[in-house]
Amino acid sequence: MNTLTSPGWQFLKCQWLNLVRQPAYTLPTLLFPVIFYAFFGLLMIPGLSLWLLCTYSTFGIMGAALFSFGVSIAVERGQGWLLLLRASPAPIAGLVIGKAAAAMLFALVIVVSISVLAGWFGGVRLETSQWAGLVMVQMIGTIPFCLLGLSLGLLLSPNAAPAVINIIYLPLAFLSGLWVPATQFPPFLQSLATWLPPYHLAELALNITGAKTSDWMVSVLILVIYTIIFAALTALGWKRLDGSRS
Amino acid sequence: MKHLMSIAGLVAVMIVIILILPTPGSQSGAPSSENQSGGETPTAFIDVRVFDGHQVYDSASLIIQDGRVIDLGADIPIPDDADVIDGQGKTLIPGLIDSHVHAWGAARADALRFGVTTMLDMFTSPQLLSEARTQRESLAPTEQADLYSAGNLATVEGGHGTQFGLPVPTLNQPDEAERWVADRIDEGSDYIKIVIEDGSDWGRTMATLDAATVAALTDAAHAQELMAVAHVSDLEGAEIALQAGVDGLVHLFADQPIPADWLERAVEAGLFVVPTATVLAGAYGQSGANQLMQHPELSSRLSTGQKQSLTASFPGNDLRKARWSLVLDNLAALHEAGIKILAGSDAPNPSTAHGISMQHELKLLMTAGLSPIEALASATSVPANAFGLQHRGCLRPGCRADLVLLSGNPFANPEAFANIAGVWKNGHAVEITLEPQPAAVTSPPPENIEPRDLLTDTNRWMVSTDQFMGGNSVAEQTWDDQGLRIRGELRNGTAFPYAGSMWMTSDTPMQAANLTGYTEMTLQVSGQQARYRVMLFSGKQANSMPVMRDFSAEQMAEGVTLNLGELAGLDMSRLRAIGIFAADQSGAFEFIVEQARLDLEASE
Repeated sequence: MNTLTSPGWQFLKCQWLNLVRQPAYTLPTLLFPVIFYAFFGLLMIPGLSLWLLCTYSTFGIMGAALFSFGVSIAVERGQGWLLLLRASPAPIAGLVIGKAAAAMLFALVIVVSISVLAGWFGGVRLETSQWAGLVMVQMIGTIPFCLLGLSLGLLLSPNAAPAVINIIYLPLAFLSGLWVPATQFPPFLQSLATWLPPYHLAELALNITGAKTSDWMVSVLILVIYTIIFAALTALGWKRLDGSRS
Repeated sequence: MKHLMSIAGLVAVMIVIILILPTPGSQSGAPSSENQSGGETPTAFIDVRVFDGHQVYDSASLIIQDGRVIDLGADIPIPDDADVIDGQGKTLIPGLIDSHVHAWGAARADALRFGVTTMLDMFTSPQLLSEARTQRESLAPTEQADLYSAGNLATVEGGHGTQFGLPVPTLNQPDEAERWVADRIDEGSDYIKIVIEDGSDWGRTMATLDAATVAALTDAAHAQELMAVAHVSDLEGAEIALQAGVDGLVHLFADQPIPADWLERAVEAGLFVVPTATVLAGAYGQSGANQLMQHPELSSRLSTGQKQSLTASFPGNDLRKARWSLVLDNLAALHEAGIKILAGSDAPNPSTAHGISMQHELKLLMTAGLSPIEALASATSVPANAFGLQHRGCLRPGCRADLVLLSGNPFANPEAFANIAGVWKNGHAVEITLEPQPAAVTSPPPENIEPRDLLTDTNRWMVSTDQFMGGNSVAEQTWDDQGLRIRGELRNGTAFPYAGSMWMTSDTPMQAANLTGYTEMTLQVSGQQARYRVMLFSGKQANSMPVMRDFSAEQMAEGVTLNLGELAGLDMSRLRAIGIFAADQSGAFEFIVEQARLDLEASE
């Protein structure tokens, strides 16, 4: 029963209730990538259903992480909720863990939904271990984007954060080759893509499904570096979050 | 508690779904078996001889699905829903890899009809590379061979490679190498091609990269984990390349017998050689064009463009005939020394054509002593290995379903390499659709055609020289009572200097006109020049390769009659221009076109 009273669980439960009770707010995060994949991955660009499964699932988990994490933090900050939490004895780590767990739960649902489309309508065939590996990579892959969302949510003003996250989200997804394979970009955009974190998460997904062989260690390393950078930004944002500002 | 249950339930449902997602073995449950994008019906070749890239199975089954080989063996289960192809008496080989081509235009489709499914380009416009890269990563059905490319080649200002009219970024110093290689990587080059060519083997002098720059380029490429290959034509160049540490040579050199110590060091260095015996055959007066074009199965797959490049000839190739045996000797020496040999055609140079020239190459490799299996490996597993191409040049499970079905057994009878019964690319049978007959975008044929004296159209004749290709030759023309007088000077600057005059078929230069009906052309030219070249420009594109014929001064003085119906690759319904040029020998020239007529057979 200990787990049920732990703060992390309580916050996960809040996020869950949020989904169940206010679907209008959270459902788009779940549905958009799935609809996009159905539209682009299956109908518009034939023959790339496996490739786009990997990139659109990356696109989906990025949204889940940035929105369920970053935007909600910013909104809650604007409402004074974070301040109240800090004043209360509630361990703040619980909030972070709860939200991260919720983002991963979303990621799970998104990746599985896109996989179902890919498998049953796109003709994608993978070993069960590869399907599971894809889901695992994408769930763990939410971590840097959770931290990115969190740092933006903390560093920007509560009003600006959702707008800025939206502005970052779509171009970042496009430039990382999540909508259209980066290999179809002009060379300078291709070289730009290799510097972006979603590109490398997609590389890992492409690798594990066998759609493309690449040097996965490099991608892991780059994602770890970004994770450290975003964690540092988060810590900075957290420090600035004293009583005087909200 | 309630919420824990629902979350746990959701996770459990997700896990169950993951477990039942379709795997490569799943046969049914996919309502999309007719869906174009995947989950395709498997194709099973049964009772067929298979070369998997390394060994021959005398009677086996091979199953392909979704663009890959999924099973190979003598006694394997055949899926119930598979399309079964009985391969009795036939042989399946991996799609061929041509390790030396220049790919643009229709090259990739032309090659695929002959079972060449992967092409390694050694110089083309880098603009083609991004699309090529996307396509070769895909397993979707395609009518084009996959392409890897060096993109731009490394040469000095004015060196070999700069004569084709394409802008080439040149370099002259070792310290430019790193930057040059970085630029190629930005353009999407898959490897680096370095030109070491002083022209000495072809009777001319050309600027070329020095040894230090070659070494710097090789090091820069290797530092970026790119391979470096070298164009050489003589032992001196091959020595520079070997000492620089290049990965391979993309031509055989035949200026002299290969010294034993060079061979020893090349073996030790693991150097590979793409001998391009086919293009050398063309340059040494041994073109295989006629034989290839008469082959019933092969000729049916030739496009107009392929016929043109196949029947074109290198100027002066007959002068080098005597040296051909050295080419074969050197090739045999490489093979005996144990150097890796990669089949490559250098298409579409004169006397070669994409795809079909690999047939010639295999034949030449066997002439030089390779067994049929060794020759085939040099066009499949050996290049795949040398260039690190995964899943290509092989037919084992996991390999790309790029394959060729041959009637007969090429290992017993090498002639069977040419008996192509079918080509599959990414698991799909390739349709042998040649370009549709030209839709009429050209003018209708003249109604009452009459023999035509081209010299009466004085303002349709225009001076034309190799400056069009980046050369330096000059010419001017004047009219007098003898006819059209052309004076000028052939100057070095391109591989094949030329200068002369062209008669345009329309008032707009190079615009196509429909001149079907004319069957003969008669030319009479007097002058000092030793050799003349006639070029006929035709076809859908203004930059199509012209049909070329060379004639001696004596022939031209007597008068030459060309039978237009027999010129392979000539499209009289879209004739653009007819040119008469002095070619091949440098220096001042002067000649007079005394007669130039288009005739109807019946008019004689």
